[in-house]
Amino acid sequence: MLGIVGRADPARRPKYGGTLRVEIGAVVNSPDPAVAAANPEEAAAKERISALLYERRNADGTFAGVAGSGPFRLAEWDPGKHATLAANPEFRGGRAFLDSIEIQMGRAARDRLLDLEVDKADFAEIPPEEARRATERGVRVSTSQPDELLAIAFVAGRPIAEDARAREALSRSIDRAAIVNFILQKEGEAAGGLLPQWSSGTAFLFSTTVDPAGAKSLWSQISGSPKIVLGYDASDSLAQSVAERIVVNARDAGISVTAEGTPAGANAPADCDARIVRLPMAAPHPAMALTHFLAALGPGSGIDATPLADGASPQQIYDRERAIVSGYRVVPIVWLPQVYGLGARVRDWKAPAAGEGWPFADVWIGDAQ
Amino acid sequence: MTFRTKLFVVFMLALLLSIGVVAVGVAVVTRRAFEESNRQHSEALVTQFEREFAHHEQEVTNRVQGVADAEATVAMAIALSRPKADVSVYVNDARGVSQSHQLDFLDFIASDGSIISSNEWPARFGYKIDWITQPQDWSGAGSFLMKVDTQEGPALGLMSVSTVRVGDKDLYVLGGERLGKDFLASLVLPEGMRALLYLNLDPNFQPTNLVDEAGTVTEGERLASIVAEEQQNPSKRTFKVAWTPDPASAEAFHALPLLGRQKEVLGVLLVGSSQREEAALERRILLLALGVSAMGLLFGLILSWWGAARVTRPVRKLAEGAREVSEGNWAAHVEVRGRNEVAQLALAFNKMTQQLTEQRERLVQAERVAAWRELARRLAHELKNPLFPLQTTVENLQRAKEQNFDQFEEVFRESTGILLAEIENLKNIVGRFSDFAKMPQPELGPVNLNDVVRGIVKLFEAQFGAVGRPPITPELHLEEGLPTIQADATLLHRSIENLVLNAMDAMPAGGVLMLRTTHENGNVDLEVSDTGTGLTPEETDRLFTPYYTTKQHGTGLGLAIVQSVVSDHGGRIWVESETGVGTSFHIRLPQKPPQRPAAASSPAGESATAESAAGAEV
Amino acid sequence: MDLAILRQALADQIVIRGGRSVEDASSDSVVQVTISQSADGFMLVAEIHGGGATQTAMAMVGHLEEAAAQPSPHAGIERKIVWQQSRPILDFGAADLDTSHTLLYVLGADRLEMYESSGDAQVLHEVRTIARLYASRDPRGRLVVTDATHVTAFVGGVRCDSQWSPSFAIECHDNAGQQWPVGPVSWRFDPSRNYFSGSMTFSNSLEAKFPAFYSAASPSAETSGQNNSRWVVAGIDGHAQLFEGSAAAVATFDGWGSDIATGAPACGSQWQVLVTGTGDWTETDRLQLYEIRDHRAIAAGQPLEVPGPVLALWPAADGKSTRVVVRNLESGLYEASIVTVSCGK
Repeated sequence: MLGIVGRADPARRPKYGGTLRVEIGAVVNSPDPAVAAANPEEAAAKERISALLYERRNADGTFAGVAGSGPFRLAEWDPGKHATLAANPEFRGGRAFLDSIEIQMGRAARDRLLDLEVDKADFAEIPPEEARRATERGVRVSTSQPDELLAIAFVAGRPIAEDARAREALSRSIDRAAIVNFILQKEGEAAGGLLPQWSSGTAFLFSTTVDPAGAKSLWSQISGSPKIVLGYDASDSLAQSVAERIVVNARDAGISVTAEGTPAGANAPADCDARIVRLPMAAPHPAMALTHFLAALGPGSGIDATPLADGASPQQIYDRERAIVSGYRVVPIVWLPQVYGLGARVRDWKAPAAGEGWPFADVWIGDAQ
Repeated sequence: MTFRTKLFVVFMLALLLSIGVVAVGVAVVTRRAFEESNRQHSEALVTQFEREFAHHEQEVTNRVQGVADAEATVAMAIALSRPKADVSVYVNDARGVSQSHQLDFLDFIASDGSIISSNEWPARFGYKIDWITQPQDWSGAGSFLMKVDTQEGPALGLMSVSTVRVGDKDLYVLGGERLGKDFLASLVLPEGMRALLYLNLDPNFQPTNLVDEAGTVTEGERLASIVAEEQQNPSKRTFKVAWTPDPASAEAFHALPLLGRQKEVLGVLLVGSSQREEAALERRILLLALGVSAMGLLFGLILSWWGAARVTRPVRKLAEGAREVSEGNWAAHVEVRGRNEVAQLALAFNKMTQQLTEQRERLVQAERVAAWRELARRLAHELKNPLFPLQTTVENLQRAKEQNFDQFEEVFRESTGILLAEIENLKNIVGRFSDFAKMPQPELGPVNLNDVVRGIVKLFEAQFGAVGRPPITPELHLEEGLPTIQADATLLHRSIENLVLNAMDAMPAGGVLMLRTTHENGNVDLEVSDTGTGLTPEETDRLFTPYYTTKQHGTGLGLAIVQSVVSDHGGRIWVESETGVGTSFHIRLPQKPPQRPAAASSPAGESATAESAAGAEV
Repeated sequence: MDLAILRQALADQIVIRGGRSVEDASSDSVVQVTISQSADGFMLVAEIHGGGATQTAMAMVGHLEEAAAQPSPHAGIERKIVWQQSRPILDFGAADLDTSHTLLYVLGADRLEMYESSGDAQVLHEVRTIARLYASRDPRGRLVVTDATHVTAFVGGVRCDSQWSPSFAIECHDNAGQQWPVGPVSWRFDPSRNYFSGSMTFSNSLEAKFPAFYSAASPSAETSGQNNSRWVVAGIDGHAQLFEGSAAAVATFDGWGSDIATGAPACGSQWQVLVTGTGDWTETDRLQLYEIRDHRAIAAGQPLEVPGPVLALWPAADGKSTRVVVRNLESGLYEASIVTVSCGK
């Protein structure tokens, strides 16, 4: 069952009132969706905050209406530090149970976890690999369906990246199961395809088995002393751990890989042949999710980003996915869930589906037990 | 070089030698003392390092054991001993535990050798370390050196293994400390000493693997050969490295190989001791020694000079006296001080000069008497010859007047002729004596002796082959390029003429007259040799005595005049002769005669009273 | 899902299409069929391995929706699901149209649906949209089914009454006063919130003021409607309080859920209250029967576990059962069920 693992609390019908204390790691400088974010982390946080302020979205995913037409209005904004959202009594979908939401920005993951433990925060996003530790420390943890793909995207035009044998060799050398079990502490799924099983229903058709012998055989066919420079976001500890593990796996297969961290938000350095990327699902539906992935990977990946036709059948979606994966220009590694830490007061929290924002409109504050 | 100078030089040499020996000795002893001290210091440091290293080893062992004994580790071991234990829970534990136990390296390893959690390479979970399961029992194994694979590359670690056994399952705790610049910084080293560590992590020497407490060592290549030697043949060794030509930059190193469990060389520790202080101290000592030596030398110089002067003063006085004597001042007197040998020598000298003076006076007197006697004899002889005919002629006149008056006119005429001739003869004899008595001073000018000799030979050429006389063959050996001399050509001509005449007189049966000129050391030599009858040694000794002659006729002044002329030119004349073989007269004349000597107390001078005596050739 | 049944169905379909199943595994091609679930529903995925290559074929099966009601297996408190759907159910009610047809009314947040059941089949007959005056995040509604053709719905600040001539229609108007009849008693509802203000109007037009509550129960309120009845109210402060004819509570019961209703009175003379359990709407719920005796609430029998939160609990008009709406967390469906209490269990 997807849901909350935590302490049992007295049942209540949703109670109106209270302030939800939220802590996030991102630093959001402007709530305006039109203002570009400096890095993916800020962009994701801005998206979630905006979803609380706007009534609805357009078909293209942009927000419709004016800010404050959603379940909450912006009451206070301290750029990069703090924001206060107040319940919008005029919201058509019904006034939120909460009176307000206090958002603290730029809090490190460790501090967020601590604040949850000592009841200084009611809600915080937790890195998936910290979920188990959080649970052990008594924090209520809510885990979503895996809806974010961690993958390797090769940089088109780089000599080694243009060699299909090198790409396939690297893919075969990766021990995805170990990454899920050890690095992610079993919070996540090994990814062989671009879409998770719960979305496409065909993820099981993509192999995730490590094949060092096959990798070694492919790599040995490449002349010279090739090596792959794998870039990752230096502020993303998970990406770093995964990159370092890939280096070790590749070494077993005789593949020379070096991992290089780059500052958050910076473009991949000029000498990177591939980079670790995070691809959050924009929607639960596989066709929409796949189309969004292709757009997110961009022309630099060398992948055909033609959107899938509306109403594409599962077979068409699968065939397209298989074609992309078989090219190895993007190598899926693991699927990551969104993991949330909840305070003792939080009630009726349901982990949002892929592409959805925080469902704070349905959350209410009860008595802490 | 004077005696004083020689003595001074000897004193100085002796002093120099002594100082030199002492200085060298001091330098050698000092250097050896420093080297010994340095060696002891270094050995002490090496011993200290070994102690510290052992201490570190024990510390590492204790810390790793501390990790193994910790509750969390025991709980981990218990959890992992259960079937289907989930090792992934512990994948991040090593980092926190290593920090709390101050270990650079820490790995939790399962019973099958697979890594559960690694601090130095977190991504290596799941990989196996087979060697750790080999020993049955790690307790008591202590610490050991090991090449540790880290994410950043290989490193050298001082490691220890502890085990936590639950049932039949072992949980291995492999932990340790990195050997690098931080480890070196933890060593307490005295001033002037440093420790370098070469991490033998690559097959070839890598300068970047040589570190000190600050990091990579510059100019590490200089130590490459030492490291290579240690790699080949690991053992403790010492060596010196001169970083620059300045000796103060030298550094003495002790090399200690660091061996792993398989006795492989994993690192080389180099304990360096700067020679700067020693060099500075040596230099100071040297400078001091030099200063002292210089002072000593100066003092010695002064003292030696004073001492030599003082010691040689009486000798010098003696020498001065002797020189005066040689210069003719036989009355030279040397001051006598003290009673030592030199004083006695001075006394003896004074006595000698006194005796010489007396002897000379006696000799002079005797010679004067002899000369007078000789003169008287010669005069008597010379005068006797013309006087006899005078007497005979006068007697003839008397007789003629008395007996043969009619032939008296003729006898008178003949006799007066004879009388006049003999009177003329007497006048000549008197004139020659007078000439000798009043020898003129030479008027110097450039003279080519070869030209003079040639002139004289040409002059006597006719006489050499005179009819009725056995021929005399002249032989000229005149040196080409003979330098001119400052001389009175006339006097010289007369003197050589005399010698030629004497030579001719010495060869009544003919012979060879050889004339040779040479020059050497600023002197021009003339040799006039004949193949006549030769002279006896007694004749040779008296040859230059005025009025002494071996001829029947002659005044005996010729050679005296020659000697006088030669003497006035600052030269010397001597004779070599052998009876039956011949006689050689040697004249040595300086190219530039010295200052006109004082009026010599020569028989010719002293016999000024004999000036009236007529000069005559010998 | 019964895999054996599914496998047989597949085999049957293959045979229908000219194939035949064999036991021998040494065939040129091997087909592996996987039942998979995607965001769009269930699908069958076939992998055909043969000739060194693998081909795939897949077909959607669709959602499991509006399946037939299943009887609850629990004894003591029995729950019988009469209807389930993916849209929210605020209340429901059934009335026999005739001996063989039953009309089932289902009240949603903005609609009233009428299903006609015949045998095991239920067919949607009518749907009428309700224009609410208020939209609440936790909408509550009440359906009063007088008979098969007369129903009254209270939702979103309006009151809707059904009409059957000429056809089924509903007429909604502002429910000023927001009085919701619960038997002979009317509870005043705060339409912008999800609770009752605490004001009750009895059949003798007298009013009683209780603390604001989510739900309330009385042993004889449905029959007597007297203002001096005993009441248990589940307050919005999380406490359930017992009132006996006065404004002061005589007892407080903790650990009760927000929804309570009087249980079947057939179990002796003791007043039994059906109470929902702990946990918020992300967790499963349970129904526990309590006997109210001597100012105490004593649990009676084993609780009935339900697969999701209880969203609505209303006593049936006949007083012999309780209407319960549960949101099944596994299936995501809203289950309309009738809960009855059997005594002696």
